[in-house]
Amino acid sequence: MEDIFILKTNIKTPAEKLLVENIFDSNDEIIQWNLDQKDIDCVLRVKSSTLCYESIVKMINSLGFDGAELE
Amino acid sequence: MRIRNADKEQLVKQKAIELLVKDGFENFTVNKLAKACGISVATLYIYYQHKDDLIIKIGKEEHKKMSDAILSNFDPESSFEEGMKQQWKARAKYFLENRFMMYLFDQFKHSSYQEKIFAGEENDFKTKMGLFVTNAVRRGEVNPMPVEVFWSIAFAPLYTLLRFHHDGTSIGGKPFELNDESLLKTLELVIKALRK
Repeated sequence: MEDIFILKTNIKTPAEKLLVENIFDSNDEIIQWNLDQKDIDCVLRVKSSTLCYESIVKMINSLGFDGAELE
Repeated sequence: MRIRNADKEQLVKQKAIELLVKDGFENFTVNKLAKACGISVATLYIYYQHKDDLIIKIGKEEHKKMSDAILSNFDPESSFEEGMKQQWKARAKYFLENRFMMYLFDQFKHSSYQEKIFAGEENDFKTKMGLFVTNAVRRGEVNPMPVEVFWSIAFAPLYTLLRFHHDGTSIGGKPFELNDESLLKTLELVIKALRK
């Protein structure tokens, strides 16, 4: 079953989004993702059947960004 | 994992429409909507990818609802008078029951969302209305005329009455409430103006 994960991040600029794009687009576990940089929390939305919040946060951290589940 | 909830979705759509009309597209935010609905911002992102996605989805859905409501029981082959009566009643009913939608569709028409919201209008609404007018012209009931001229006489008076009703006042601040009598009287004059 597809889950939707909503995270707040500090991925603020188009250039920073590009960094994330390269990793997320090539990850087969990610069915769909998008980043709303118009929102104050730079909300990252990820659809996946296999990932969890912890693994997504690790992916974001590995790129040098902060990420946490948006409550 | 977060689960969709049909009731919450409905509340979100209703509040989003109210806020879009009240604040406009620029000042509308997902955060404001979340507060108005008493839900978390995260919950909103379950339903919508981002602000534009929300606005476009709601716009398209409401436009379809409006088209379906206005076209239900509408026969493009009906006489000009009958067809106009059906249209006036259907449009009045819809916009009386959905008071914010008139203002929201106006906003959409003058925004960058216009193409995305109204794409596909060609396939049904315009086709049926176009056929209705073509038939009326063919039967000699009305003279051919540019669509803008036709619309300005055929429907603009109705929308003026609806605005007066929603505002509660007409010209010069005079109190106003739309009723069947004023609706049908105005329609009678419109048909007289357009009929050959």
